[in-house]
Order: sequence, then C-alpha cells, then structure tokens
Amino acid sequence: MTILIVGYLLTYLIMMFHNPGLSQNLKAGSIQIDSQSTLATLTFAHLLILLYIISPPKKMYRIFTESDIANLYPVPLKRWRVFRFFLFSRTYLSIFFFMGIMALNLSLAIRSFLPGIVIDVQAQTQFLEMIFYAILIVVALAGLMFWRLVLDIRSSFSLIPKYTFVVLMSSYFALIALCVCFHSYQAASSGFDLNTGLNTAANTQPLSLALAPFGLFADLLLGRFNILSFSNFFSFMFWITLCASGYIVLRSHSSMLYEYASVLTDFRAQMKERTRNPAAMARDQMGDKKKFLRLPWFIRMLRVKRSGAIFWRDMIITWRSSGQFMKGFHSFLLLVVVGSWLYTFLFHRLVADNIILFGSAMMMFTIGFPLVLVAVVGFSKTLQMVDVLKPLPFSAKKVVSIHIFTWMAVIYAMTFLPFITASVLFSHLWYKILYILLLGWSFAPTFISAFFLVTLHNPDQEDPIQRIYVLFFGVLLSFLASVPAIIIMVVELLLHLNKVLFLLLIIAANFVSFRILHNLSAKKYVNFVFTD
Amino acid sequence: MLSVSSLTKYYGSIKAADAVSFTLYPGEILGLVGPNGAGKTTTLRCLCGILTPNEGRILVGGYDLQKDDLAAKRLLAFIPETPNHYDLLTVDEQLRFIAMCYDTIDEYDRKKDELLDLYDLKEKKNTLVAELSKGMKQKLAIIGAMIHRASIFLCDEPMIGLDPQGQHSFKTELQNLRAAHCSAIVSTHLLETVETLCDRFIIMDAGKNIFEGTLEELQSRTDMHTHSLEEIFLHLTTRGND
Repeated sequence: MTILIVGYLLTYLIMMFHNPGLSQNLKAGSIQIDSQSTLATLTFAHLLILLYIISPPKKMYRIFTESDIANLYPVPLKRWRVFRFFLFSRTYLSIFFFMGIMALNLSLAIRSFLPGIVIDVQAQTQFLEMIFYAILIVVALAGLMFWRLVLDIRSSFSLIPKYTFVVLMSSYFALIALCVCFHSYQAASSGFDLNTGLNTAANTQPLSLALAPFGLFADLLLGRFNILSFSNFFSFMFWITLCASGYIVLRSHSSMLYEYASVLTDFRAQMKERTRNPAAMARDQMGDKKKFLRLPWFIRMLRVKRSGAIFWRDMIITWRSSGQFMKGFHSFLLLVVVGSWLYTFLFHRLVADNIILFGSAMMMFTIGFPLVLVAVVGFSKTLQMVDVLKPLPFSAKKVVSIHIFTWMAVIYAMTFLPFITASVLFSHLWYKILYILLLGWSFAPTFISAFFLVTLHNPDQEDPIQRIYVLFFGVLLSFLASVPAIIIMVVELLLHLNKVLFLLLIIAANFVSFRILHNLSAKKYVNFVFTD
Repeated sequence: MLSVSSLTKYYGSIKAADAVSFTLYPGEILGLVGPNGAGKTTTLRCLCGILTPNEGRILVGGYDLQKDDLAAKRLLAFIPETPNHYDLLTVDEQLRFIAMCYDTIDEYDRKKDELLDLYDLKEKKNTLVAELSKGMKQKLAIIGAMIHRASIFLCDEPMIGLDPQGQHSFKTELQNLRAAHCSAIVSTHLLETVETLCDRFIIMDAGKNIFEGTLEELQSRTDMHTHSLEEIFLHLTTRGND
C-alpha cells in the first residue's frame, strides 16, 4: 500500500507541475469553479480520506472500538492480519462514501434531462462527461482495490508463488523505469528538461497503462481528463479484466484458505461465547417481549401454503431482526416528504421542479442501495440454514425466487408510500415522481439477484474476506448487470423519445438481467452447502 | 420404499461414500452404524437432498431423487444430528412453517397440542427457538419431522441431547410409525438401541457398506454366534482387522 500511495502522490505531483494552466491559476489566486473542478476537489478529498484511513495509527483504539479490541485481540489471529482486514473494509466504505458524492453529481446532470426541462447541447456534453468521470473514478478505485486485494491475499495466504510475484512486480517496475529512462534521455538529448521527459513518459501507452489508477486519479484531480483518450478506455478495460480474472484466480485457489478457515473456526467460537444471543439482542431493540413476538398486520394477514411459507418465514425473521429500523426509516422518509411539502405550502416557497425530482431520485437511491446491502445479511443467514430448506419439496429456482422476492417486497414497501404521498402532494409532478419510482423499482431485482449470486459464492459474512468479496463483487456485478438498462436510459435521455416506451424497455432489460442472475443463482444453489 | 444403488460422494479428492447400496422396505427400521467418519451422515444428507451425489441412484417411493426431487422429498422427513432452526421464530411458528411447506397446516393445527405435550414443549409454544436448550431443539426437530405425511424418516443421531423421557417417546413414536407401514433409517452410535429397535442394520466403514442384514445374519457371517453387536462391530471396524 505504501508503494501505491507513493506512486499515487508522485504521479499527482508530476502531473500538477506540468499543468501550466493550473499553475498560473494558482499563482493568480483564482481557480474557476466548474463541475469538473468540483469533482476534482472531491476526488482530492477522497484521497485525504483514503490516506487517513490507511495511515497506521499510533494507538490502535483510534481504529478499533473498545468492543473490537475486547473481541478480536484475544483470538488466535495475527493482529496485523485483523488490522489489514479492517483497513480493507474501511477503504471499501470510503468508496461508498465517494459513490454517494458521485451520485449527487450525476443526478445534477441527470435532472436536466428529465421530462419538461429544456436541454442544450452543452448540458448533453457535460452529462456524458459526468458519466465517464463517474466510470473512471469507479474503475480507478477498483484498480486500487485490486492491488490491495492482491497484496493482502498474497501476504496472508501465499496464493501466488513467491517467484511469480517477484517476477510480476519486477516486470511492472522495470516497465515504469524503462519508460521513464528512455523518455528522459530523449528529452535531454533534444534539449528539454527532466520534467518534459517525465511528462512524455507518463503519457505513453505502456506507462499510462502501468500507472492506470494513479494516472487516472492525477487526471481527475487536475480536471483535465479526455473522455476520448484511448489510454483511458484501455485502462478501463484493463482494470475490469484484471478484477474479473483476479476474482476467478482467487476463487479457484480457495482451497488455500483452509489454513485461514481453521483459524477462523477458533475465532468464531470465541466470538460466539462473547456475543449475546441474536434473538435476545433483537428483542432488546424491539422493547418488551410482547411487542417483539407480536407480528405486524401484514404478516398476520398472510395465509400461505407451500412455497409461500418461505416468504412468510422470511418476513417474520426480517421484521424481528430489522423491523424497528425499517419502521423508523420509513416514518422518517414520510416525514421528509410531508415536511418538504408543508415548507413550500406554508411559506409559499417556490421550489423548482428539478429539485423535487432530484430529491426523488436521491431518495430512491438512498433507500434502495442500503437495503440491498442489508439483504446480504439476510441471504447469509438464510444460506446458513440451507440444511433446513433443502430437504423441503421446493425446486432451487423457487427457493431463490422467494428470497429475492422477499427483499424486493421490502424495497417496494419502503418506497411505495413516500413516493405516492409525494406524487399526491406535488400533484403537478405526479407522473414524473412515479416514473422515477418505477425506474428505481425496475433496477431492484437486478441488484438484489446480483448480490444473492455473489453471496452464494461467499456465504459466510462472519469471515472478513468473504464479506469484502460480497460487497466488492456485488457492487461490480450489480452495475455490470444494469449496463443494458443504463444504456437504454442514456439513449432515452439524449434522444428524448417516448418515455413510456423507454421505461418499458428499461424494465425489460432489467428483467432479462434479473433472469440471467436468477438462473445462475439457482444453478449454484442446487449444489450449495454451507460450510464453516 | 427406498432404494440406494452405488451412491458415491466425494469431498474434493476424499471419497466420503463409496458405492453404497441398500434397500429400505415398508414398515422397517434400518440402523446405520459405523465409526466416526464412516460416511453415515454423508449418506443421509445425500438421501434427503442436501448433498448431490457424484454417482449412484436414489429411488424414494419409486421417484428418482435426482430427476423427480419434489415428489421424492414429499415422502421424506429428516432429523439432523445438530438441529437447525430459525432463532427468531417461536416454537409454534417454526412448526407452522414446516407444516405450511408440506401443505399440512390443518393437520398441524389438529395435532400440535398432542405432539408438543408428548415432548414436553407445550409450555414453550410461544418461546423463541433461540431460547430453547439443545435437548429441546432436538425434540422440536423430531416434532417437525412428524407433522407432515412422510413415510420415510431419516434420523441422524436423533437421541443425542434427549432426556430419557424424550428418548422413550421417540422410540415409541418410531414403533408406531413402523406399525403404520412407515420406514426409518436411524444412524446412531448407541448399539443397544440398534439391537432393540432396528429390524436390520448396515455397518459402514471408510465410506463403504461392509454389512447389511440382521444380528443373526451378522453373527453367522462372522462366526461369532454368542457375541453382542458391540463386540462384533468392534471386531469388524477396529483398525488392523480385515
């Protein structure tokens, strides 16, 4: 990671001192704030967060909570190993943080393409740039994550033979050194200074590829990326391929994790002794016993038979484990909607339609995505109990469908009332608000099934590696599976064709992605056995 | 009723079940004995559909477990060695869930008090499963197996953790089921139970079925006519014996 950061900073510095425009602006003390520089600032903010997260603290309690120390320190795991898992998961959290900001920026662009809003050519270009910006940031972060993963796994489990690793890393650094030396020499022989040589080297294909995440970040920080640049496209493909192949390689070597598994068994046994009964914990959150055992009306109303029983059971467990949180969250959302309306109504404030639509889109994202992540915990618990479900007379497809359906129902239930209320209160925008609701709903099954498929491969959420895998590859697979629908959405936004037709096409594209993921999950589920 | 032929299951390169073959007849209780790691649990987990065998064929009431798994599973009830229940469901909800899955909810509502009473769980009807003791969880697993119209019961160490009263109730229940022409496979280390409860038994060792038959047949085959099952079992499975 040190290598990563040094490379990161060095490239950034080289790039910065080779951007005359920026230097002049810095000297003049005025930097024009546009959307790109906002993003660049945010990227820089992310770098600072990343640096803060990965810098080793002098005292462990700054990273670990008291309960972490009490639970993790006595277990027979190397402290540094535990520490690295924490670093990795926190880096991942920072990505989520950044994705939130990214979504905010993207939605600023998206809102100018919503129905009834005047569009100009410049806005279209900006929108495209925003999308590419977002993709590049995610890809660059994926690149960083991949390196982190490779280094972690290598050092912890020796998955890659030492000599292979040394050869690979030597080639990597030799390539960088060769390019730098060659271009520096060429620059010097042509009468240019070292900076020119370094800059030329950094822009050559081999080096821009080798330094892909660093170079991309540097470009993003300086707000001077070129969306048509071949190197950007190439590095995009490079990192995606690397991540995918890395995943396959690491999974195929999962047998090497046995050593880790045996350590983890002790770890888990000790954790179990120290943690309280899950039912008791859930009951404490709910209040008294009577309230905890009493089910809400929509579950009591269910009169089901056969496979519906799995849905019934899922609903009870979901309600008892996270019902209070969902109830509170739902009430909060309703309050936000009604409060916003009251504010505009009582104070006669004129709020732009765009803001309301932007708020709706943000609400859909902030409700949907965290719930998908909560669903992973649910899936993990369900898969631990596969021995109960498998002897029951249900096909794998049906069982998988019901688990996915349960979480779809949760997301739909959480969003339905706030959106309907918003469409009634802001009646002049009702169809646009419902359009966003349907759009969000169409993506939910794809995201849920993507996470379910990844959870099937990594079902043990008490294992830090599997948890990281699920989060990381769940996000990647979700976005990958959503690509057809996103393409249709972008085409619709640019060409302003019939909204209803395109909504149907988006739903169809998401349905196809969902079916593919669903079938893959069912196939995996047939031979799935939960093992500690 | 249940026919197993050449059942083979690998865990990686380890052969946990090696061409296991046997038949379970209607109204029969078949004991499954063997040392630890003999492949008993693997065999039972293959029979109830948790594991997919690498080779072999399992016919349940004439239905192929691989091809017609839903019809086959309707005839089966499985009692695992370590009972797996949903911690956040109450005892009643756990049983209701199983009854709903098999479409026997009306029957459950009629029989639940009697069954819960038999295993001393009536008072715990509205208690969360997480709060039950290990023995109570085992009793719950047994009731769960009894509440649908299964005709073949696969029991993996069903009496571990049960109090003497619970063991007695379970044995009585098995004998009642036998009288009703249902069948059961009971995997256990309690050889006395096998002798008294089972009609026939299978001895497994290192994944292989090394004997199938009655105690008399075993005594005759090993030429140990006056020996108990325990003595013959030890003779057959102790390392170094052929």
